Amino acid sequence: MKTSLSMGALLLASLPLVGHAEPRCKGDRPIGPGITRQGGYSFQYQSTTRAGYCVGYQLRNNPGKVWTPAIWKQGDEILIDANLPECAMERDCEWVSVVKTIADPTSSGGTVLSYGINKDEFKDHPAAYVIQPPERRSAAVGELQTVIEGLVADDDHRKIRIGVRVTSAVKPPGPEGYRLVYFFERLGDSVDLSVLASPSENRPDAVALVLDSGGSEAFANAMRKVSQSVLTSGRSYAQVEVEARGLPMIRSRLLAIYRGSKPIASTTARLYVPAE
Amino acid sequence: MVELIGVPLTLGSVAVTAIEVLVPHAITTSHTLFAWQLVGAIMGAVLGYLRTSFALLGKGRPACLAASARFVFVGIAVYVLFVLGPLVVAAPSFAERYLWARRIREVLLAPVLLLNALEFFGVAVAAFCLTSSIVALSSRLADPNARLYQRDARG
Repeated sequence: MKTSLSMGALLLASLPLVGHAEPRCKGDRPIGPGITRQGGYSFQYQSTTRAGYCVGYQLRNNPGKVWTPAIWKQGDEILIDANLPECAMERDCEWVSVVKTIADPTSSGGTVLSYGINKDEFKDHPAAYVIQPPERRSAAVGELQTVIEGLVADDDHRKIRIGVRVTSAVKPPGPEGYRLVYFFERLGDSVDLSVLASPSENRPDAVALVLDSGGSEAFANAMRKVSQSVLTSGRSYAQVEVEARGLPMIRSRLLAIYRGSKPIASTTARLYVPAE
Repeated sequence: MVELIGVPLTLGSVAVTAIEVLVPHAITTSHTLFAWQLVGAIMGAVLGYLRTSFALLGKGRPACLAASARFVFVGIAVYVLFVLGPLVVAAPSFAERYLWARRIREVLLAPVLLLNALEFFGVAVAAFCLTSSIVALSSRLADPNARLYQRDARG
């Protein structure tokens, strides 16, 4: 069925997403923390899940260790891609974590943790909770949330505290079809950040969140509508809606946080997208 | 060209180029960096082999030996300063010990392309110089007519 899309992008600055629930995932069945040590690098990793409902991944540098670029992947899916900041000997180092609510069951499986120069200098294969591929149509599996938060470092080794939650939901179908809702929320004492359609729009020293459109024109247009919104402590969320005629699909899209034009943290987010 | 320089020296150039690329692998195992070094080494070695052959053809043995010595000195200096040096400084165990090394490491790794490019040019220049130094050792290259004189003398 050919899906025709009509675009309705609303920026609701003062009202939260209708029916938006508080995050329901606090992973409490950890695998780890484990420690990887190669080439002078040393940091911890951990994976958590709650009853196949959500899954979390955390990385933390060890005391006394220098700036460490690292990427944790499961196949093509990026679990966490971040630069772990240098950690002073006398201070407890902070985690950077990603939590995803999922519609598919998890299982324990192999992943690849690469780090060092070019993020491919050393490799480890820790066991972690893995997620099944999401490629299917579904409009009734609830909200899909992805959270990135913690302390990361940019390419200049400056420490940046980030905290964002991206929620993707489907409103019940009406006369015009489904309404896909994307909700962007700044968490805790995260730096202020913009929501942009492309990293090229970002100012040199500013922090921005970019959600990859994956080639979907409708999705890209929706992101342009909310582009340049700034999430601050005073106004911590932004929302955009897309109308879709047919059943939406669950797809993986890269969710990345940039400082200037360089990524400082990213993960693969599960989203409802219009079927095209 | 290979006939003029000689098979042993040509193989020697290849061996030196291979060593240049393999030695950094003992310090860092980044596949991306290895690829940059490999391409740089091949380009530098080929350019050195061809360019020096033409430049030193018929210049005489003393000039070629002097050129070889200069190339060895420059090649080793470039290799130590711009290939091995940055890798040692970028290694976490070294950077943790010295604050100055940590600051240099931050500069080297700030844009990751900087270290890759530095290694590429460092290995390329070193390969150019070290290959040239081996090529310059060829007596046939120094005086190609000497073989003709010997043939004529033997009758």
